[in-house]
Amino acid sequence: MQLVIQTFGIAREILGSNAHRADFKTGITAGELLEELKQQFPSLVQLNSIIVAVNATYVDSSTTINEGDEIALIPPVSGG
Amino acid sequence: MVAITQSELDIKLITEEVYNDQSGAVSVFVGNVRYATNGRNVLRLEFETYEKMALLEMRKIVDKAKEKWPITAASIVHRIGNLAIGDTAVIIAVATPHRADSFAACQYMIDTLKQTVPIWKKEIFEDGEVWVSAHP
Repeated sequence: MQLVIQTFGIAREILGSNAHRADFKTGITAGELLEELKQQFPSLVQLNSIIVAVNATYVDSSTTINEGDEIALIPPVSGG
Repeated sequence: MVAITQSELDIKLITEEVYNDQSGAVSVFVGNVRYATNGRNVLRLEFETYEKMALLEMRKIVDKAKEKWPITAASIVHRIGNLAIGDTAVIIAVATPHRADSFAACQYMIDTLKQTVPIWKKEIFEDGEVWVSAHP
């Protein structure tokens, strides 16, 4: 299935796009998605943290991603 | 009021919005852009957000705070875009019947915002730029 991954801050700079499109296996979990992205973009590993959000909510690594979900990569936040 | 804006923050408006007759105490936190970080001079900050999720997380902070303290009204407003030294990036205002609760709730709200709300700032220095907190 094709997913569009929204990226922000330094994650956008690392992936080179604010909407990264790629194919993933059906039933992929958030943790597996992150591992694939880390292999493709090793600079993600250097960050203090990198979390997947699904439909604008933080999820744990076992969460299954479905086609059409809104996926975002959340690097360390620094508001305030 | 929970909001994200590109415009200058109006502290009077945001503060007075939480005033009500049940509350003798209003605590306000104002986060401003500092002149320097670790001895390096900051020229400006650039804030960006995942707005949809940030608003959800900001509302969660208000809801959690209301479970912990007798809050009668609360506002969180964050500015994004390009900010200069001295500009206000965030204002939190919280009203409770008595002051101990408004101080505690206000601290909880800014501390939690810094941990959970998807907003990012890049510090632009004279000699480079850094995404804050990105790397160890």
